[in-house]
Amino acid sequence: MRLTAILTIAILSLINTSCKDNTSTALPKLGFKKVVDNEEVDHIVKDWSFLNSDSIRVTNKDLSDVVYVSDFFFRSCPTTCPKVAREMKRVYTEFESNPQVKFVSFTLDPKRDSPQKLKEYAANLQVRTDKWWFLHGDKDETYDLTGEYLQIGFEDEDAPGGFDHSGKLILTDKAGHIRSFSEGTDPDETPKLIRDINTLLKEYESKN
Amino acid sequence: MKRLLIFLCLISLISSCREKSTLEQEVIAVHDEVMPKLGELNKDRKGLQSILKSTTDESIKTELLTAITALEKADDGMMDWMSDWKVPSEPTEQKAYLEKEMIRITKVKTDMLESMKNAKLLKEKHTK
Repeated sequence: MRLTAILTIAILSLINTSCKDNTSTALPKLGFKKVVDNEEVDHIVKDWSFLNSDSIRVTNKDLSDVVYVSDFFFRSCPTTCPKVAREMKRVYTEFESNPQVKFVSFTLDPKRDSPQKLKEYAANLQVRTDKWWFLHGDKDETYDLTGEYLQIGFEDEDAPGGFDHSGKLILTDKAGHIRSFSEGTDPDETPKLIRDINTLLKEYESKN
Repeated sequence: MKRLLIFLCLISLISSCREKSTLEQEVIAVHDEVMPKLGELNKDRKGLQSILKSTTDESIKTELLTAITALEKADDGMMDWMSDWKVPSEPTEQKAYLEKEMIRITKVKTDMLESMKNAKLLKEKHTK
């Protein structure tokens, strides 16, 4: 009888621990910190302005009320991008009905990926372009932006970035801080990114 | 006899599939080897463009412009190759297509590596 009671308590406590939402652990702010006026400040993605697949100019400021997942891609990429797009779509499907989450894909091949072509690409993926933006802009500007979003997981700023790290899905908060990422080529990492998005959303809920 | 013929046909089909698959992997392996260097190639191009802006020497300008054009052509070559890459569904056409694409992607690789090497040498030469 006593043993049964102890076991029941142990099981209930285990269930309680494993089901408890770990909202108290806030996601870190990633990227290289800067020193401004002798004070260390967190990295914030710099301002950008690109054309969406309807050829309408959009900026990062249009995303200040949502958290968003971004990636760098191009339509003709034969190996990495299709895998990354599949994982991005998985996350998109998870948050499709949640207006607090958006998705942004920047093309690294603006010469071939015109807004019209990006629109066709989105249609093939069967996603809504008001929810998942496919952005077209100046090539150098886009390359510079990879440095802004992909300064994660490196020890120093001179670490090689760009194409070899472009398979990442990057989670950015409303203020432009990078809060989490996953390897878009590894389906096993996607559930963690989904959990992190939920954690970030709860962080905002608790502030309201 | 009929069975032997069917068997031989099957063997030939399997071996042609395997040949296609291996050749395809070899072509993609060349692409995968140099594709991650496109970021570095664009960094090299921007480095030379920055030197170009700060120089007034006409012969250096010509040298830099030639190197920048070579980098841009190599970049375009890779992008064009990826854009065109489509293995034919007709098995009889696959081998010839893949052999042709192996030559093409190898040229892209050489163009990329050589233009990047040259860009680095020029950068070193003109930033001293």
